[in-house]
Amino acid sequence: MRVGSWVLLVLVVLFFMVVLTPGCDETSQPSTVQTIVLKGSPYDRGLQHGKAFKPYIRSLYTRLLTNSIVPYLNREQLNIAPVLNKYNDPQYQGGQFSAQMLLESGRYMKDKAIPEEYVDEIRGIADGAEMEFDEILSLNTFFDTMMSFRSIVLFIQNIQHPYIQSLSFGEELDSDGFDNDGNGDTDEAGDNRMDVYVSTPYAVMLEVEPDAAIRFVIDDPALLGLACIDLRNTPPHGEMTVERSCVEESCISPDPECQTADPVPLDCLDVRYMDPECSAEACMDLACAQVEEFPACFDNACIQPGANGDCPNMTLEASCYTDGCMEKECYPSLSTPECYDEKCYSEKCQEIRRGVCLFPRVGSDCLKTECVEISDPSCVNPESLRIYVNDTLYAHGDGSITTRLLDPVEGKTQVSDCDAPLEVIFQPPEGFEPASAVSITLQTGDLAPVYSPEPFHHRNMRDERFVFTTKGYAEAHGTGHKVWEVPNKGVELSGKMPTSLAFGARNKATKDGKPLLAHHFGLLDNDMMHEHSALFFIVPEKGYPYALVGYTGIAWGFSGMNTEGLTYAFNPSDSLDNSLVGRVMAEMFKPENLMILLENPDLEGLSKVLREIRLLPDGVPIGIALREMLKNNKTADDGLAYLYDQPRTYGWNALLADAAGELIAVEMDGATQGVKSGTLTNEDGFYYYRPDASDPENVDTHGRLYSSITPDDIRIASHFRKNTADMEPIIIMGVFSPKAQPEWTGFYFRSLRTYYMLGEVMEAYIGTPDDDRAIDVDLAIEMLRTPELVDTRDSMNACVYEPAVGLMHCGMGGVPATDQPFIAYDLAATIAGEVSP
Amino acid sequence: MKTSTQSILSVLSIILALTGFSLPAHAAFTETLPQGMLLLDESFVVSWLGERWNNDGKRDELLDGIDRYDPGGGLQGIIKPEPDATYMMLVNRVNIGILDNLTFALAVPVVLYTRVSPNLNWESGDYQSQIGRVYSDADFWEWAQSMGQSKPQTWIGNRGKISDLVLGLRFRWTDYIESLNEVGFKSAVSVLGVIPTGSNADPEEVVSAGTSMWDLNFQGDLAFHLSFDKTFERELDGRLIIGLDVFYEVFFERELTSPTGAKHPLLRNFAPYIGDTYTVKPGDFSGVSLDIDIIAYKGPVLDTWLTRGKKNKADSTAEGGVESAESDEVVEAEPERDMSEFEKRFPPIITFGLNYNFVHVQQTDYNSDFPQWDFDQEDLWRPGYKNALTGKVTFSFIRLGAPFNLYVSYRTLRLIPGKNSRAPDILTVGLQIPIPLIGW
Repeated sequence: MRVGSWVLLVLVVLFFMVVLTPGCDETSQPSTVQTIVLKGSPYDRGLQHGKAFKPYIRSLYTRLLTNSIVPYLNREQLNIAPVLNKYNDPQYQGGQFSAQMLLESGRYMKDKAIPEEYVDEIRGIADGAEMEFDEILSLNTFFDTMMSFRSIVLFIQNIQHPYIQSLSFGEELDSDGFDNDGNGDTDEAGDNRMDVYVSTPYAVMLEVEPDAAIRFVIDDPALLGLACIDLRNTPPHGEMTVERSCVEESCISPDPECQTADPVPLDCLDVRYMDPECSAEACMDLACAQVEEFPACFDNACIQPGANGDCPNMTLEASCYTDGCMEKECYPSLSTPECYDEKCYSEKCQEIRRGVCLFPRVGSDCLKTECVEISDPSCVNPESLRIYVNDTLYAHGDGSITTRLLDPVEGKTQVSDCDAPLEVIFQPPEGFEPASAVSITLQTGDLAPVYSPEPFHHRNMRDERFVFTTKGYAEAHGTGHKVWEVPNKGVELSGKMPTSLAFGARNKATKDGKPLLAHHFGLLDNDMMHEHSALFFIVPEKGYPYALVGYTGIAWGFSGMNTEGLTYAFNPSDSLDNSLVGRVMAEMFKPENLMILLENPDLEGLSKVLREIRLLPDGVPIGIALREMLKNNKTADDGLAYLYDQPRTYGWNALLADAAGELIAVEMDGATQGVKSGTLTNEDGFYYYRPDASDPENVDTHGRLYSSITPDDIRIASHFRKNTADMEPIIIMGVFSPKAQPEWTGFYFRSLRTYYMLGEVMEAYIGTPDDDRAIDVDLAIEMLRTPELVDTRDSMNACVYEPAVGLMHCGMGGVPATDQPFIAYDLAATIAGEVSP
Repeated sequence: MKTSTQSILSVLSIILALTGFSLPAHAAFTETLPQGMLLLDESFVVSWLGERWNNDGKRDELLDGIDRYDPGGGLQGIIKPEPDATYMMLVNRVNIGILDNLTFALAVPVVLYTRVSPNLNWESGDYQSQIGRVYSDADFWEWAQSMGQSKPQTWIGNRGKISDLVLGLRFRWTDYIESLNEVGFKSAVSVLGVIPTGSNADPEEVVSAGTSMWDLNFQGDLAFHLSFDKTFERELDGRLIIGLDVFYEVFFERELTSPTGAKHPLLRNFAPYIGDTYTVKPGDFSGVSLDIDIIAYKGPVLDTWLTRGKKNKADSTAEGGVESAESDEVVEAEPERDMSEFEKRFPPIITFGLNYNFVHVQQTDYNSDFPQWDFDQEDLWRPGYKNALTGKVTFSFIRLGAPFNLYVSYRTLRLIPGKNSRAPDILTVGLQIPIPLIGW
């Protein structure tokens, strides 16, 4: 073969390899940040929004609500329904609890508080995205509902898990010549201890001996009536049963299999066997509403789809329910409140239904009190003790922890042998580091079996953290003579992410003297929120144009700025002083209900009092309130006055800034415990402060600015600095008294650490009033990117605003948001159409 | 759970060592059947897949670990999938010699069985105050179950399901160029196309697999091959054949149904935001194969019913001459050469083959209503390449009077690193039966 042939051959091969292998672009991540300018009427703006981002909106609804929030909250029905019995109603069953609850809450806010303009816009979004109005309404209100709902759930858990009763350190502190407990007295009796432990943002004790032993007394509450909750729990994937010895015989079905069953399946404990005064026929009616094995109760002729205006999905003929019977098939379609009111049940069966404690059929009267121990022996579990000294873990069994049961509380009925306070003596073998601030984080649980929410667990208290100093700290550091001089900052522990934060700077604190506001919001990314990030430039028909940083399908943002320079950022700040709790309180304080509670000081009594209560938040969703503020106000003071007038759904911290350099931090809650004065002032549910020491309202009881290093900076995290007594205890309510923020929320210690860390960062970048350090946008971004301040899991968006020049720099569309490029947007130019968003 | 679902689905593509053509004895790229000859080929194929070559060209688990967080809480743990998949197939092939240098092929692959095991292991994460411990594997799936998601289990299906049919033509054009033949150089072009008789994976299943060419991922919908063989008749007694094949295989865009969540309402409810259907344009294949066949043992052509007539004819030619095919002239006999030509008509008894196959895979393109979802899928099908090695041994019994060949091949993509490709092993055992349509 000649050389030429080989050359030809090679050329043919190369032809195939090169010509027939065209380059194909490798896939690349599409933009996860959507931007749009919205103009026109509210409905038109919504329509533009909905059409432009239709798949994103549908994705957000499906993946966030349908796939995540709804099933997650459904798990809490078993905790909520025993107290708020309304949620045992049929329309909340079958996995409909949270979807129904979110929808009812959204409708309530729409009817009571959301300005019509935003309702129209939400309707436009729904039409543009070709979704149901209710779906978009839920998407726009779930955040406020969820935060409030979560507080109720945490509170119910809080009153059942163990708690630190008291805390003491070595006896030598009583004679060391130091005011160790910070009460103003030196070496008084008890100078070494907190007889009633309370969570604090500062140190609990000063100048403790490094080899001291810490003594905790931990108790586990015993709430009679808890059987109703705990016996309803079921081993996962198994049959729900109750020990036969725990059940009143009259409650067991006459069915031969039930009569011999031990343990007794819950199916054998139907409500119809509970009340002998309830006629068999009437009870059967209720039963057939819950048990589809009773076909005789169904009357398909009663269902006429689409004929009734109030109940668009069907018509319920009177004959369907006046006899106390309602078809099971009706429930899923009964999506409007008008469709499931009490007329669907006979009066007698309503009473029975209210008495039902355990879903779906077991009455609390059926359970023998001696069986309470099974459900909650009211014991702290010593083996669950874990104590961190800074970031070093000590656990039960390693020799550093010794425990013993103290004598039972006098007058208290013991439900088990271990129903008594547990004394814990903790002494790490190497002692504590001298002249240091020591952080202690305590974790423990009780022995109550909790099968739901899954997985199986016992009741565990939140991670409780306190700080103390050791001998020599005050001398070595020149501070620490008072407990409030030592922050409860803690240390970085695995899994404990920082919370949302924001800070502002101006004048000497910025290089050009102009104000900056920086915000990093993080709460829940769920591996998908970042894909729906959106920046909206909105030109309302009336009012100032503005920009919002938010998410597709949601008509509000977590931060924003208008063309006048008014800028806001907000964070949640957990509070039981919210409208949901307020509604519960109002119901409990009705005279007739107080009597019931006095007679039944337990959860069962509480459930009777609250039988008609639903979780409906009063107030304007915070995002919509702040959006409305941008539309109508020019300055931070105007905005402050506007916010004062708005009813709040929950606890929030907001930071306001304006073009003139005003910086205001606002701490808000539902204000259920005070009477609104009607004039802008610091009062229950509304506290604010600025970095201006000349106004006493801006300094704490120790004469310090609430949240500033210098007169030209300010910061917020996710806890209250000024509104610290957001919820005063109500003594008469005993264990059911709502608590102040530091006492219950799991966010509290995380937020404290974030707040103090941010303070250190600001001090490093901005310095003191006497030096020349100052920041600009780049440095502000650098500050936001400080690793200790970044929630690497649930970071959502981060922005730096320049109110005086109308520029905003935002990082979003990825997790963490601070790792994304901060894109600059010129608000005025974008709205004028001079630049594309 | 998004990541896990989509990733699990991604492992289901398996490369099978199938081609439309199946020719006797040795696997030279240019070989065709004699005119009038039909070759039945039945092969049993088993494929195992448990690894992949990642974007860095490193061998890796098929799926990355999936970090799971309690919403708003700490790290629950990491799901560490070690999935594996097994396909069993019966590949039925028919090749027909239309001309001595033109062969038609039909392949009917039938999937006998598919099994996909997600093998989800668990690495615990942070201590969770809420439950007072770290999440164990059981804890996590109990949690997931309460959210409505049970642990994905092994999926078995596709029993007896037909795949796409493959049709092909091979034309050896160098037969018309005597000078190339004289130096033992042959070249052929082949075209293969599929008839889409296979089925797609059930979109509603968390773990499942289909039987289409896209699911099997072994051949494009339309394939073009240009092949070359070099034999060494004079130098090595024809015991070595070196072949080269360059190819381009096109996948056509296909429309698939989006999962609605009918079976898994939380995990497979994409339709609301990606649309009722979406399209996939799989990345085309292109590449080159190098093939070496060594005839280890030619063996004698025994005087059997298969060879008798031809052997006698060869014998007589060897003794006195042979008639020219082109004319009636009697040419001078070349006895040894004629016997050699005669024996060449029968495959050698034992042939060893070694094949190296390089396949460049282009980016696969998804198109739905939701660009982010498209990217999430495309990210699993980035451009890459595969390096496959195949060893094959063929036993032919035709010389001995039995009209069949047996072959066994083993193909692996695990030895030579690839990129963004799966690394299966494939065992093939086959039987070939030549049937003369116009007499032996």
